[in-house]
Amino acid sequence: MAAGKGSRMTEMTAKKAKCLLPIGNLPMIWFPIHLLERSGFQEVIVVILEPVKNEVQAALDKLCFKIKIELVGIQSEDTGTADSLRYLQESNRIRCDVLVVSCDLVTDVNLVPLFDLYRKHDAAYAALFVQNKTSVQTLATPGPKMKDKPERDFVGINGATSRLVFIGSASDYEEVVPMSRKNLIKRYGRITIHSKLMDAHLYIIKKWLCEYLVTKKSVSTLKGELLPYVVKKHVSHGNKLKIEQDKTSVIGMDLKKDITQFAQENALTCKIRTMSAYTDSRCQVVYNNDSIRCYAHVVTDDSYAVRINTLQQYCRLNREILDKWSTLTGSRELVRIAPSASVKSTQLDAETCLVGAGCQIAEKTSLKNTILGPSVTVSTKTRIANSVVMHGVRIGEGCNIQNCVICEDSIVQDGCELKDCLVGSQHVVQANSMYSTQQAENVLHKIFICHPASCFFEWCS
Amino acid sequence: MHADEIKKFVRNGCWGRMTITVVISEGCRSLGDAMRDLDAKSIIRGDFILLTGNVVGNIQLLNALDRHKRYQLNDKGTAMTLIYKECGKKRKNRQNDVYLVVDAASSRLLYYDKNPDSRQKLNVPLEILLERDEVDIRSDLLDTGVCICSVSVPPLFSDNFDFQTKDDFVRGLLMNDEILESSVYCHLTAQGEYAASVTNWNDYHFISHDIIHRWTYPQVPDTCYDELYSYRRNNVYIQEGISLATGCSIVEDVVIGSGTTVGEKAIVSSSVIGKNCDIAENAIVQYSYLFNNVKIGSNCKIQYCVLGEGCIVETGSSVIHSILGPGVVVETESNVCATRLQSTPPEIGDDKETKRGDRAYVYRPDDEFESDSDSEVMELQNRNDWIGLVDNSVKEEDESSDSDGETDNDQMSNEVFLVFHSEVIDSLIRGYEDDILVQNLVLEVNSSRYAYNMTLSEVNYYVTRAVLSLADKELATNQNRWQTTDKLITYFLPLLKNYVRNSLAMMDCLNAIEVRK
Repeated sequence: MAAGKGSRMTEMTAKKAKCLLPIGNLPMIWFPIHLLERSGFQEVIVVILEPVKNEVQAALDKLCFKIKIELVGIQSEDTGTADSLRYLQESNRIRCDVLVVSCDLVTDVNLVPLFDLYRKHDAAYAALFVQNKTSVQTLATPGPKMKDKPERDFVGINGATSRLVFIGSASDYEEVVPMSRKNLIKRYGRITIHSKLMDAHLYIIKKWLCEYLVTKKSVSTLKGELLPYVVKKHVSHGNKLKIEQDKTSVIGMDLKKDITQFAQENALTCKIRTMSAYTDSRCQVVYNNDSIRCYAHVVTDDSYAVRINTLQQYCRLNREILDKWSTLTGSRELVRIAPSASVKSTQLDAETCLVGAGCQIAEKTSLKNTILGPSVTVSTKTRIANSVVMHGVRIGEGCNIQNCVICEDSIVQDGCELKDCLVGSQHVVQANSMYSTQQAENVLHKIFICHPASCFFEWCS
Repeated sequence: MHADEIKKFVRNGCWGRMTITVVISEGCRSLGDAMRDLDAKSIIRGDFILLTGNVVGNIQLLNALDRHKRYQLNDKGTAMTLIYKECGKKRKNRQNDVYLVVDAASSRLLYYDKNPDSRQKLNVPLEILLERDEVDIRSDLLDTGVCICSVSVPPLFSDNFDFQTKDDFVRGLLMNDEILESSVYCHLTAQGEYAASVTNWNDYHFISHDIIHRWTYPQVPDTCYDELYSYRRNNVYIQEGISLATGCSIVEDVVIGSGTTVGEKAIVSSSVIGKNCDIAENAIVQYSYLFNNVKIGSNCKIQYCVLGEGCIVETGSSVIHSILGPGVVVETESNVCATRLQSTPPEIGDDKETKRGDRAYVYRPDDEFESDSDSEVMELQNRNDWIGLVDNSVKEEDESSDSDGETDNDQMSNEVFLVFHSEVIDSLIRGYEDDILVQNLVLEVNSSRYAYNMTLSEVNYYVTRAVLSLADKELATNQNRWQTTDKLITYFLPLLKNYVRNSLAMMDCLNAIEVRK
């Protein structure tokens, strides 16, 4: 990373605990910040909701990053990503180009090619897409059966120049996807439409785009509104460099600042470009004379990337985290069983389990593929498999828990059998109750009467 | 008609070990008819390569055939493999534009579109995109005119009587891929391979130049087995027995046949000259094709032309952007620009109108008499293509011609505006006289709006104008202008309020008032 480029990351978490959900024994937010730290960033801005600011601050302090972290709290829950960015711009926290990453990205992707792409072409923005290989297999998910219908995006990329020329969500179209012949297909000749790429929600954004955001109050999300708009602009006709701009002034002309005005490049850059022999595509003027350029980097190698935006993804990652530990976390030492935990069980599969600090695991218990948060108490004759048990949970005697997520400070009383269940925080599961997703759903819903602040509500809704 | 000539040519040629069978189909007017005929005669018993007589190229058919075989292994329903060549983004001929949607993994053709109107959007069916991981949308491909067909192709033509051309066939298969259980694949030529088919003069020009530039090697003039050309610097191909006078310049990209003489100080560049031609002194021949026995007088200027066999251009004439049939004589000091000439008077039509000389008459395509406007447009387009084909500057203009097209549309729509305007006035007068509820008038105006496809701002503009022009008409009965206008405005106020709602609409309204003065 070039030292001069101070970039930062804006962390968009609207949900209280989402960014602090444990993945392995680390909160989710550790992963994107680690990614940035690894990529050589020096400053990060974390945008979080005001009420949870202190909580996040405390968690971050514990993780001891070298990177400079600034926490910015926002008030309203329905602040979109673009709104947050606008807020940052208005409060003068953005001094140069920004890299926006969402807190739920867990990846070991090498970002350098993306940076290279962005800098080489002086792009308006560059986005990261990941080929989604993992989503094929389906797992039994704790909680009520949701239709797991992932959102499909159409991403059109011109292969030769890796320019992003088309972006749209599958749900926006009915039967046909209209595409402009002249501006789009003719101009780029060949467009590859990907429909199964995962948008990593990692964008590098030019500073002028943030300035533009300030004038355009109606745009509230990056992915939904701003980026498609920019892509559209970038393939439309008005994008030609306007050399003789204010030649004629018409009364009543649209006084609103057009996006292209923000994108004006200075005369020197233009001159260099016209004099240079470089061109990005054969038989064409360099960049088609476009002043707004969007690029997409598609990761095709075997690197790992997941967005934890569904419960399913969360469970999967927690199951895979131990395998991927070294690639995802770099050289961070993995303490599988915290020294302060008291483990009396002989049936604890040390290879596949994580045990947090202060855990008390009694004799004659069996744990497999399970992640236990700090201060969990597991009583005797209990079996737990494929589960995530968060901070402070107490599990009674003779329980059988499979494929579950049990949130913090819950109590599972003696003799329960839970399969594919989601237990909200501070909930008490009555003794000897048996639940699984195969049972009637209304029963399950009772289980999910969670603490109002629970993040899982967000997921289930 | 030409069957005997073709038979003779085939018989006289030397074709190595290949046997050539000429099949003559009577009354066959299209590819579809020919395929149906072949099916009826059951001549074809295996996979075959389908190409038309106008294909020039050097593609490795074996590779393509292997590909086709591989497609057949994976997909029993493989009917056809179309061979395309990457041609970059530079458009050559709008008529040949083809938009393909191809599955990136299997290179199966999913959607085929050949609409030359680039202003319309390409509507890709959603399910195509959803079913596949990666789909290529391409407009940078050129149909080579070569395709590899399975045995199932002739019967498919027989089953579907409406398939006339290859386009029909491909489109039909893609639309009914479930019923016909056939699929079409695409194969791209490797680098260095060339193939193209001549379908119009524009292609003729480009392909001739590609041959001169040796893209089609080994099919280049100097490798012809029976007529030897020597290949010289700057892509000049010369046969024996020509005479070049001193001071003449053969610049570059020129092919000259035997027996041709080029006079003093004549300039020939980027042209193909047939045998026994005569180019007199000081003549300029550029970007043109002279068939055998053409005579160009001194000081003539020939640019972007095709001159048929035996044409004579007399001294001092200039022929530009034109196509001359065999035997046309252009008289001394005449100017021929952007026309097609033939040597005999047309069978129908007025002689005086078409006559340009004793042996020069304006050629009109036959179908022009049937549908005037259509073919005229076609000819215009063709001419545009012909003009635009070499000159890059003209080509640029071509680029912007879409906006020109819009101005044409403007004239058209001006009439629409007038009709709309008068209709609105009529409704308003009737409403005013019969004292109809203004809300109903709004409905009436809106219905005319949709009938004439007006935008909202146009409606605002014309409604305001109509209200004001009503005042003029009323003035005849009532002398006080202010009072009449006031009365009208109070009556139509709900109408105006309905339309003039925001600042943009107010602008339209003000514009209308301004025009009234």
